[in-house]
Amino acid sequence: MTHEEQMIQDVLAGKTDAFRWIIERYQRPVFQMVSNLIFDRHAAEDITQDVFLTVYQKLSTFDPIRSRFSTWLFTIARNKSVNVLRKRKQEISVDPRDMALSENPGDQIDDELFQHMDAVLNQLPPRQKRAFVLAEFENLPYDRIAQIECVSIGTVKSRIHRAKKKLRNALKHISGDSK
Amino acid sequence: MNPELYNKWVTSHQAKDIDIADAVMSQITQKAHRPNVFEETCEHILLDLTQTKILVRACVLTSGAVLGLLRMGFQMYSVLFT
Repeated sequence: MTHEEQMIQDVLAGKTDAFRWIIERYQRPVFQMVSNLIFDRHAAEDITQDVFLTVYQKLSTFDPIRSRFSTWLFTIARNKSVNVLRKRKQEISVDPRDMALSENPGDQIDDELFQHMDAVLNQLPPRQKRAFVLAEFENLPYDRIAQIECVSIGTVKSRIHRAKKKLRNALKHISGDSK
Repeated sequence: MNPELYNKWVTSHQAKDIDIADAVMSQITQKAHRPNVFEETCEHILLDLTQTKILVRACVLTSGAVLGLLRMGFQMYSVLFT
């Protein structure tokens, strides 16, 4: 039995403190995924908290035979992000956050380009955007993305391919690079 | 697009940190959330009622059984007392 499985068993046995280990282990990747999907840091924090509360309450329904714990966790995070986006009717603004312009002129150009890229990413169809974010930002393998999105691996590949193509096309004129 | 810039952009989306452990743990403790734990002794016979399909099926079967018993009781009453 792995340490993770032991922690899950401990939580199910009533040892609440064991859940802290699960939060500390996964809070960063979950938050990163959610914030990359909804582009709103504050909302992403709330959703991440909500994800872990749901995980705690539904932990007994997790079936290790069907999926890894992290895949199950990411699926919950994905579903909550999708629900929030639906409620907002896709009216999302790009978080200026993390995109504060640098003092270095060269970095400023990069920052502006990154803002454009974020905007283009944000305009992709939600399914393509999610597949792209999970693959490129979260570095998840295709089979796990397929599990999270409940589609075939071929569909995942197709969505990522289309997303990359659209990103490339949209950014050609911005970067001045025809590649 | 320049691969170096692309990698830089991807990295900019991966450097996000957060610490919500205390907040979540306090919510769990305050609201006294409890995980749906099955009794170990009879786990194999308990239904996972958190799944809607199973819950609906269980309700249908239970109501069917209750109706069947009522019908049987009514027939016995008819035979014996009428």
